[in-house]
Amino acid sequence: MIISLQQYQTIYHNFCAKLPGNQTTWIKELREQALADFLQTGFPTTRNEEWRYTSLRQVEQANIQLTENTSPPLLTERNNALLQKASCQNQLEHLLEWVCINGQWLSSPTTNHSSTYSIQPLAELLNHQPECLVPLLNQTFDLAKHSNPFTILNNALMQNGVVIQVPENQTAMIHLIFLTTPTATLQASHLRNLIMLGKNAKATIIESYVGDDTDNYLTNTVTEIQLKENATLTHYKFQNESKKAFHFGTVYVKQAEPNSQFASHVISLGGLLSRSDTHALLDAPMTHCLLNGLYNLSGNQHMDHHTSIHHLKPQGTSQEFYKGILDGNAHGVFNGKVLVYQDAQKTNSQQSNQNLLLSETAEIDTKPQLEILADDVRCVHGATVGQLDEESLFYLRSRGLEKLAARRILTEAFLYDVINRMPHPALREQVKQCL
Amino acid sequence: MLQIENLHTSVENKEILKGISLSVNKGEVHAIMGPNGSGKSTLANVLAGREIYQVTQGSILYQGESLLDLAPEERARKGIFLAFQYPVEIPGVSNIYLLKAAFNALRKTRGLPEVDAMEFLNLVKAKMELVQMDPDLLYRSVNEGFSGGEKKRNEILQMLVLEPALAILDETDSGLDIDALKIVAHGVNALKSPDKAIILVTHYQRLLDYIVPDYVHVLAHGRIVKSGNAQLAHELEKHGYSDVSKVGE
Repeated sequence: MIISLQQYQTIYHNFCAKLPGNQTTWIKELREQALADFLQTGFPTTRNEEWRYTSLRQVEQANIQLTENTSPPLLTERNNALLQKASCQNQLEHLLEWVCINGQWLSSPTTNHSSTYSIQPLAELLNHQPECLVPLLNQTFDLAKHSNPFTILNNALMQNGVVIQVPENQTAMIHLIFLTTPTATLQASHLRNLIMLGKNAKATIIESYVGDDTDNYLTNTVTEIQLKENATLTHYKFQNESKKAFHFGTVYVKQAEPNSQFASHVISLGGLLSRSDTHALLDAPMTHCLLNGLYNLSGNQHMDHHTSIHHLKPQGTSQEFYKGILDGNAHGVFNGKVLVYQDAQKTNSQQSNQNLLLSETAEIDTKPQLEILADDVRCVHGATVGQLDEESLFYLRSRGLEKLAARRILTEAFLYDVINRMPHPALREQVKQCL
Repeated sequence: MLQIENLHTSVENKEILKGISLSVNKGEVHAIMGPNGSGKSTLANVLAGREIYQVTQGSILYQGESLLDLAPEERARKGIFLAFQYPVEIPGVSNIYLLKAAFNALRKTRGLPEVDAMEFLNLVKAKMELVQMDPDLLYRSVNEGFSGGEKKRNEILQMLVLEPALAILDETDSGLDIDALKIVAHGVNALKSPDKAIILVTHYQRLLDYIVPDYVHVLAHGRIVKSGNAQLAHELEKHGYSDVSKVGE
């Protein structure tokens, strides 16, 4: 075993009694198997194609402790300010907002929702009703095939998160805010969210990850989503972590019944080193998937987005639009795979990644990939990398706009279509204000 | 208002303007004509502050002050406006947004507060009528998907809204049919006033049937080879540029 991995074994053994659900055999086994798998493979190096442009050396070498859930979370003035900034409570109607600080849900979240759906802290279910989790946990993707080391680590160390179930024909509108405010040591939160939408159910779920820009910590979050027949989920992920934080997040979506629709809107702004994955399994005819995302990074930020869309059955559609702006010494990575399997005839897929480099030292590695095994499909994909158009800049300046204002207008305009694809005007405004 | 003295400019070490001198007073309309490649557009762009052109010699005084060290936006705020030969398309920025941002930028320079949204909309709509533009174009992205004529009219609309002291029109007539040309000319004439000046850069005489210039200058090989009144334009139309061009060689 690599020395630096030993700390994970130590962490597990120090905390295993406190990890939720460990009194139940199958959960304990799941955790210990995952730990053994992780210790065996460790963190991937850049020789691993999936991690070619994102080095994990900083994470591997850091001494990262597990966040301890002992005392109730503190609502300091600083935390309150961060939460207020992230909140959409006043902008969106019928919204339920839950706040999680350092892996612990605030004791009295705003609970006056009409109970047309259920929402429960994961830790509670792990401890008291583990059998409820059987159809929800690790049910989206075969992890042996899609082995993201952070997902495996998440299986070993998951502390909390949320379980949302929207029954047949019901609707839900939920905002989850995950705030990390570390104490003295560098600490990690391993969060797991499980979402299930029943037949014809319709939901909007927003996940916000926030922290103070002076704090360093690690977030490892995994969200698993299952959509039943004709269910529609709009899922937002605001990654607005501290500029010193590590963020690893993966969203797994399984659409195993016909006519379901999944729309993902990813807004990535924070973190020193971050990677956001979205993987969708379209395992029924006529399923639809939209992956819409933007990233805006500067300074020494490193940000990686990996997505995969698996068309397994006929007549599915997928659209993917990711746009990024990179300034300073920032380094971005985009890797988008669309896989059309043999049975997935009449698939219609469109994918594009466009990047704007604002400095000579910013860098983007982009790789749209298409693998097609069916013969009657329509798939297009492409990627571009460009600079601000000098002609447009001069045009705006010649109308009296200052250089900085002109640059700002043009960069905002570059993201315009991605922002406009987000269906909630209030959230579009919030995105614009964060840029 | 504008004194250009022995102006030399080059782009990538190639000299384009080779000693231009020109004086424009308040209330005057000057036409700059000449064959392709004579330096007309260069002159227009140098006045607006386009950075790719280097001024290697000479001076430009505007309202008694040298323009050469001023950024394009500073020139705009002092009342210089360039109507582009090829207006830029800016997807994602609405026409009304640009108009308002530009209008407020000029107001800010004059120490005035930002304009009220409703008031501004009424002002813009009135100007749009002058150039017969569809009000729907206000909410479209700047010039995106506009026809050639719509783009040129949009330039004139911006000019009418910003009310510059010195308007420079770079081949605004090119690519316009006769109806559109009349509309554009009508817009330009609406700006004319005793305290404003207009410089028309054009290849053809036909625009000057509708906007009558006080002076016509012929540019060839980077120099003004002939100046005269509106009559000169008619002569050029008849005989072409070949005779006058020889002077500049």
